[in-house]
Amino acid sequence: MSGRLADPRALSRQREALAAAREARPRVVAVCGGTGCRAQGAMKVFEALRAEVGAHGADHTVGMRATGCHGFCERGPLVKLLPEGILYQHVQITDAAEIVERTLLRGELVERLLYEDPVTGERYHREDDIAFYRHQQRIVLRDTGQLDPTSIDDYVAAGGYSALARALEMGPEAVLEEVKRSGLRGRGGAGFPAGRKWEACRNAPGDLKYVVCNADEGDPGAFMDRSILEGNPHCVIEGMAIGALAMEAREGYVYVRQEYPLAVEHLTVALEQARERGLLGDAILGSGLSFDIHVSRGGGAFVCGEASAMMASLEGRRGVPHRRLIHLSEHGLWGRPTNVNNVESWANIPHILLNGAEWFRAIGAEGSTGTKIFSLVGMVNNTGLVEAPMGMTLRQIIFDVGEGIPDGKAFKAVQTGGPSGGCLPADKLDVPVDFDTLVAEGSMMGSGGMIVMDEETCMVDVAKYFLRFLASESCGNCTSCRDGLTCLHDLLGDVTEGRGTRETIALIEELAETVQATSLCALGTSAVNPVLSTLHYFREEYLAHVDDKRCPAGVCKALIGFSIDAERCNGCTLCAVRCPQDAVAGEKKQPHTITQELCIKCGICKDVCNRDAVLVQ
Amino acid sequence: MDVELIIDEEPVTAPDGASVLEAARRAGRDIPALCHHEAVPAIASCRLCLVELRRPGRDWTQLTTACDYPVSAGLEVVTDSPQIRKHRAMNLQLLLRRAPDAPVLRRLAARLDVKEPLFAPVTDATLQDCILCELCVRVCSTLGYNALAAIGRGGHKHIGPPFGQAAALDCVGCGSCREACPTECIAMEDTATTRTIWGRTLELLACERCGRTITTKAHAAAMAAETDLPVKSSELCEVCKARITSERLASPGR
Repeated sequence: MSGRLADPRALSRQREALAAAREARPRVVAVCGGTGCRAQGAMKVFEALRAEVGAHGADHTVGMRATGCHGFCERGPLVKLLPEGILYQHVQITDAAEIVERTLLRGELVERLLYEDPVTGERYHREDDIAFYRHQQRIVLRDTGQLDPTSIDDYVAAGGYSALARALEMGPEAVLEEVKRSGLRGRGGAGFPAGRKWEACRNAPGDLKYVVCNADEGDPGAFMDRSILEGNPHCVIEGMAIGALAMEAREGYVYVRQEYPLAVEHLTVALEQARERGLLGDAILGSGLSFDIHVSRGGGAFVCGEASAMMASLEGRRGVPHRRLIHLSEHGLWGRPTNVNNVESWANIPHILLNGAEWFRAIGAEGSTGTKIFSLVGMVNNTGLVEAPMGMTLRQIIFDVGEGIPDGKAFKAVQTGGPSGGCLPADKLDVPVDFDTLVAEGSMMGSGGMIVMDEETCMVDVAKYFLRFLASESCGNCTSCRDGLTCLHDLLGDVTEGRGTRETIALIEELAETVQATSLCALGTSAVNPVLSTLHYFREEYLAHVDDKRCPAGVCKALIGFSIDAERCNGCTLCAVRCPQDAVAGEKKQPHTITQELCIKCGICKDVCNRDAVLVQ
Repeated sequence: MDVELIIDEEPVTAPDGASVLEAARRAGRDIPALCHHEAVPAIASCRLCLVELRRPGRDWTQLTTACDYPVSAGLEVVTDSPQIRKHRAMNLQLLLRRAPDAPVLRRLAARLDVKEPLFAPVTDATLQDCILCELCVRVCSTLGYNALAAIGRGGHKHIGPPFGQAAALDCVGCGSCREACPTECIAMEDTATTRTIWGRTLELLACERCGRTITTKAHAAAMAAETDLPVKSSELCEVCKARITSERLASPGR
């Protein structure tokens, strides 16, 4: 179906027709086409499945869809069979024939492709039964694993753009009121109430206004916004169009990083489709609203996620933050009133308009309404994208959704909020995850990064890791941030390499204070969070490094040594064979020893030993 | 229009649009600032001109830079406090890594009682002693030449011809960047007839009367183009212009 939709009635007629066609053919093979699954060969699996379906003459009864991210990336490539919702994981090309013959044609399950619970060992066949999904509340991500992101028909059939139609019916003031009442706070990091920002932009004088979508997601290990743009670009477009209506903006920009090629591609396709349908452009759905969106690709600077730096970059200047004395809502892009929200915030808008502010307020916590998407990564059994109601505790996210720490190891810390978030220890696990509580505990919501660390993680080393990232991503304007972060990183290096003293720790604290107090933008002022929070919660670990020249977690190479427990070693020679330095010696079936002078502490011997005979101290 | 504000509990007036730094300096406060020049836009890079501000109606103070903060009515400014001194000294320590021997930093260190360096000096800078304040870039851009740029991020940030080119192709050799540089780290070499700067060698324009260097020919041409005046093949230096004028005034025939 194509062609311009003349008015909201044409849209609903089209939706009904598309939905009926889908109901008549409910069988769908949905292969996750997110970047993670693609990297594991999902598109080849998709082609193999399509060929098998065709070979069995089932292509008229079975729909094939490459969808957006299902969120369960570590189990990819993922294949979902609708309408039953059967989920197969780690699917290979060689599995295609069996899936089609047994499951599609005969209704049997392929046991070995089912998810096996790492804790209980039980196998589940439906996505909704798996703990990872069962404990989530998927609103924004509801459709990303179901729809073909390059098909506007899929989106419309699922009710897409009906929120925009409803908004047009309500009018700008009522839309603004609805967003304000929903309590939606910006999902990009600062958590500013979206409705208040919209209102300021709407009230700002000027007939040329802009709405901007910040898709410059730069946190290492975070992919919330990428998954939304890749998997459901139309919901962001619809959200922005609703925003444009409320703020009377005629132009929009999506600032997306060049490193997200699939997101750029799907967004570009979706924009083209929306224009063809008359959902963007002049007189949207026959109304007085005229609005279009441009895609602007960023060069991948973390700092360009900061709104003033992003404005500079959008205008074609160097992406450097500057002091904002007047809000962007009054003086933004090219000096015009501008509203910036991030991808996830915009993606929430259609749901708020369709279901109402009261429905939205009922989800989540007081002061932090709705859900939040987290990228749950690190030392946790289930890694991936998690959408949970605000106010869920860290324990629920890590142990219910994530099903705890692998290999029976102990939880040590979780870093929330991306690279400049703080690290919270085990006794903070029952802290509810909302904007205000996390800040009060010395961390932050950020854009939703969540990195879980187990007992084998050295917190000094972790702080050093994040400081290295932040020091290299500082724009370089402020002395305090540019050189302060570099020096902090070097001082942490002194600690991990055994050169540190108590004075080093005092200097780290003093310098961190200056960086925090005197840097211009939030990159600098928050960059010291990893250092200050680990110093606060894990001070003994720092002291062990400087006082005893010891790394309690056994990570910092300069402070550890490997040895072999003669009692446990059975002389299998595996470590001796694998040691790149020939530092392990010993006769077959006799206990081996490590020559310390030759050892480079790479840890391979420990990794390969089947008997846990290699000791670290 | 002037606005009234308070600096260190003393009411002062400053022109609307002035920065807190300008207002404080007018009021006799000696606030250090290395990246500031009244002729170019502020970027608040060096982070030395720290002050504490309290806006009317607010019960909290804000530690911030004075050079990029405009004055407003009723603004209360504190130019010296233990907090200001502490953070200013630390930021100076960080700058000293980049230009340990620059006279301007040595003088400031003496004044701010910064004795032992806390951090090892930077050894891999592309421009020795550069503190990355971008005054050269901003002066060049304000003059309309845009021959220089800040390149790279974080510790890799450096100053030079745009896009890392070997020579600043739009440089006219006026030397303004060198004049503006607080640490005097920009190399400029003149021979009798040429000037070499930013990888470019440009011909010099000499005074037709005394032979002294006026500027480069490229700079003279650029100024002539800007002012719509005819480009002259020869030129007098400012000293000779003044001499000729006084000679004429003193000549008996006048």
